[in-house]
Amino acid sequence: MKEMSIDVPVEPPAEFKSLFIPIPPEYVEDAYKKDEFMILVGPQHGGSGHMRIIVRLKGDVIVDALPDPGYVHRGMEKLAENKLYIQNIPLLERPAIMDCANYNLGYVRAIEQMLDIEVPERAKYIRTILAELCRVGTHLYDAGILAIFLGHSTGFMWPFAMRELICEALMKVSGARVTASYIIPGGVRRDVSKSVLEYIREVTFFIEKKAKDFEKVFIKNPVTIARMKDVGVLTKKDAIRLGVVGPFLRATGVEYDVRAIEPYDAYDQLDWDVVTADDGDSYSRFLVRVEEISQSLRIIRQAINRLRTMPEGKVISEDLLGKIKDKEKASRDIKGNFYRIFGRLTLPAGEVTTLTEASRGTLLYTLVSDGESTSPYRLRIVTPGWLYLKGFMESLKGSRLADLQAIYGSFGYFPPEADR
Amino acid sequence: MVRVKSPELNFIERMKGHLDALRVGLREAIKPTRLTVQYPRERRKLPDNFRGMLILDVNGCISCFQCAFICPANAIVMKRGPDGKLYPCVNYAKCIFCHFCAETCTKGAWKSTKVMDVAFENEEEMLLTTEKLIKPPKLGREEEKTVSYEIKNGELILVKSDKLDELIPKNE
Amino acid sequence: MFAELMEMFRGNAVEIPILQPIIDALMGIPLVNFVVSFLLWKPLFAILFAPGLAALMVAMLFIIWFERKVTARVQWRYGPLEISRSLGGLIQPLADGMRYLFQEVIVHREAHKPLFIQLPLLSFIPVLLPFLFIPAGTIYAIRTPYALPLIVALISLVPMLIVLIGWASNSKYAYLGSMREVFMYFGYEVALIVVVMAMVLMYGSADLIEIVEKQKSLPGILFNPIACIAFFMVTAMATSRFPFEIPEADQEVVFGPFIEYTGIMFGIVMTLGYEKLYLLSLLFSILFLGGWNGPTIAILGDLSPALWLFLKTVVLMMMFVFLRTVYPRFRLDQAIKFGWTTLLSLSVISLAVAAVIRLVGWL
Repeated sequence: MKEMSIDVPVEPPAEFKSLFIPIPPEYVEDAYKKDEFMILVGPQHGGSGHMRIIVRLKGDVIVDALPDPGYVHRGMEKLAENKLYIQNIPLLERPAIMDCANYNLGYVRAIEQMLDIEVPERAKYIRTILAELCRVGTHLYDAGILAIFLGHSTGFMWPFAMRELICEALMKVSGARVTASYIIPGGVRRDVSKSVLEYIREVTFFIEKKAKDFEKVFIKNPVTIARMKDVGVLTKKDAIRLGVVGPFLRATGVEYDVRAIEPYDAYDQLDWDVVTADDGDSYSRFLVRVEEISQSLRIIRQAINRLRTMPEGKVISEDLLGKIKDKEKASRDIKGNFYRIFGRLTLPAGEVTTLTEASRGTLLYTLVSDGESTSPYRLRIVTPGWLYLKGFMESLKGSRLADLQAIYGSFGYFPPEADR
Repeated sequence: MVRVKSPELNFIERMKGHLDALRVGLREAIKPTRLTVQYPRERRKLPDNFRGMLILDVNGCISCFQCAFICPANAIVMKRGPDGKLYPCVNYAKCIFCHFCAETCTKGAWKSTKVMDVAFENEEEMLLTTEKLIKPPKLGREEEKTVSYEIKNGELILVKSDKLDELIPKNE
Repeated sequence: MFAELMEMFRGNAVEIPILQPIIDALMGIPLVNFVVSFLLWKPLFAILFAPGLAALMVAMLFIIWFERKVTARVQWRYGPLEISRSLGGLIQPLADGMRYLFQEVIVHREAHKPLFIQLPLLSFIPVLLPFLFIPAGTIYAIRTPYALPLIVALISLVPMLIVLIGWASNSKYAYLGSMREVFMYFGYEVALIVVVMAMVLMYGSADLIEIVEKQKSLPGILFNPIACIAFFMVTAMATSRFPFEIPEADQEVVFGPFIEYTGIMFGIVMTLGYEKLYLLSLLFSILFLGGWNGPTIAILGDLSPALWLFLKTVVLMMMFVFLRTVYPRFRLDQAIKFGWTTLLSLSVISLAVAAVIRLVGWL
């Protein structure tokens, strides 16, 4: 259809000058001269997280999308330089609150690599169970957010109710519902009893059963499929070029999972599969995460079976216990020895980098120590949200305004995680 | 490696999808599975290792300052008691309930309660001095039942019992 | 003059045997008997009580409570329960309305102030005018052979007022919501007119009382089920029920044309959708479910057919509201495509079926 332009002088609205919006005024004027308009899907919006997306619209089609993140920036990298190594553990699990175990694991593994200590078997399996529980919790959380962005309130309440039982399981293991602060360098804080493992096993059966109902109501609902299929397509080349990570990369066909390539903890001793898809649209991204929930439940059940056969007891590494006399008792429960082991911990000089597969992608920690002080010299965190932000913005181009929420929900972008 | 494929729906499958969704909705509307705990009339049963507010056993404290040193949020302040020794005070505006202090104490002087829903009237009250930390917090309980979640064969059962939870552990 | 008016009112009065003693007692008092006979005059009774304002208010209070409760049941929670705990929270909508009365009505600087405040109140006019033409048994205001087209024409005025409300707000998201409302209106209006035409063709007249008379043996749904399905989906599109809740999408355009309303104005614009739902459900029950046909309850007199009509309407509204629990919302172009392909073809097929039924002579 041939377009005719009417040369009406349009002045860009005043809000682009008065608020601090990081776009040059020439860009705004250029947009308004070309008969397009800009809209702020801002922080106070029912359909965005705590971030602003500046959208340039031509009619109903998105021409360009610029992110404006940073509303939840708390300066964690700088805060970490002023705390002891052990005090950073509650700090660093706060970016992605429901994914606490994976964020803990990355940092703790960095310290263990620098100290060169060996983690006991039982602790490895307990850490794997916690990490996979958190992964299931995060995928359920993101499925709920996707459902409410599409307008499906039942699809929002059910994953959160299923996640409630995971929070209950975390509470039975560590004492707190979210942000467990349970993983410490050398193992975990204390052992897990048999009844708690049985409860976690029952939770996996419950989630699988309810997921079938959830599938019928939300996942296989024809309206959902119509909303999400072929929307926000990211091709394989684009995804690799823009540095997308995690299940969103796997949904374009690349088989990259840190747990399979550089395994840590107990992942190389358990039997599980990497989930990929081929299309790269929103629905494939969502389906990859749903299938990952089943794989995680499989890992949890296998780990619980292995834990039943192991003797109870040692969960803290002997290399750390050093001068403590009662090594038997001290390796079961950290209570009473916390300060003795970790209070004045110094790491040898050097730099170490760890990669972890958090729920939303690859999590990178770099720890630089100067050999003398009890706090890190420099701690660098790169969260998956920050890594795939550009890919998210690129996939918005060319779709309609209503698709912004569907694509946002399928990526599961979580601003506190991306902004740290 | 598992490959997921998104389905191509034809007309029959679409109708089946609509009918399935409606059927699940109707089934849940007629026989609901609710998991609400109607707080404050009911309270959830908390496990014994729950991380709630802390009570100090003043006879066990040896003023070693280790808990104040390890606290990630710098919430513990040491103040002088009537016998001249220094004892910890906790500022609940900063405490993150991580219980690093309870794990640090070599004498086991910190005891955890199951109290987690606390209210203060102004900000100065949130710094609990040692006199207040020794005594258990004042409780006003409104609940009549205690709810605990149990799962059998993949079904969630809410077990409601009239026996109230012991929020503050007895001294042994 | 008074006596002539009284004669006219008494001549066309609603008969309710159960309230007769009270009415007789009130007739003795001089000025009150004028007011009472004015209220019981059939046209005014139709507008004010049944199926007019009072029935509308009761239906809306019930349906808002029911929507919240049924969505809560499906979503594993309880819904509103605190206000009147023994009744299951039944008067929660009343409590919400009272709360809106206490909140401040903010009119922002860029809004066109007269239109902004007056339009939601003016939008009651096209919603309440059709009650002049909808009969409930023998209670009617105006009986004309052109009732059905008049009602459809008045219902089509409501989207225009919603677009004006969005325009008066002078905000970008309100503009987007108004655009969506316009596009949705194009999607369903033609199908609505064709379906209504099919039913008029089938029954042979557009007078609502005659239509219900013809359904004494079997309700209209059994004659022309395709028209019933088409009308159901058109109602879902017209009143922003899921899966077509597009102009007022909360997550995409932040409540669309009504974004800038607060306080009691917000309460008023929220009930616009439900009022339209009540109207269209009334039409649905008259056209397809046999209207006010049902066993007569003697003590209620003229109110008995009105009660049957009201019950059928409320049950139908409950079905529409249940859709909220199961469906997300469509995108705008998908909804319009649906309206112009599936709905239009269903309506045309129903027109053919109606023509066949008329030819064969079943009705």
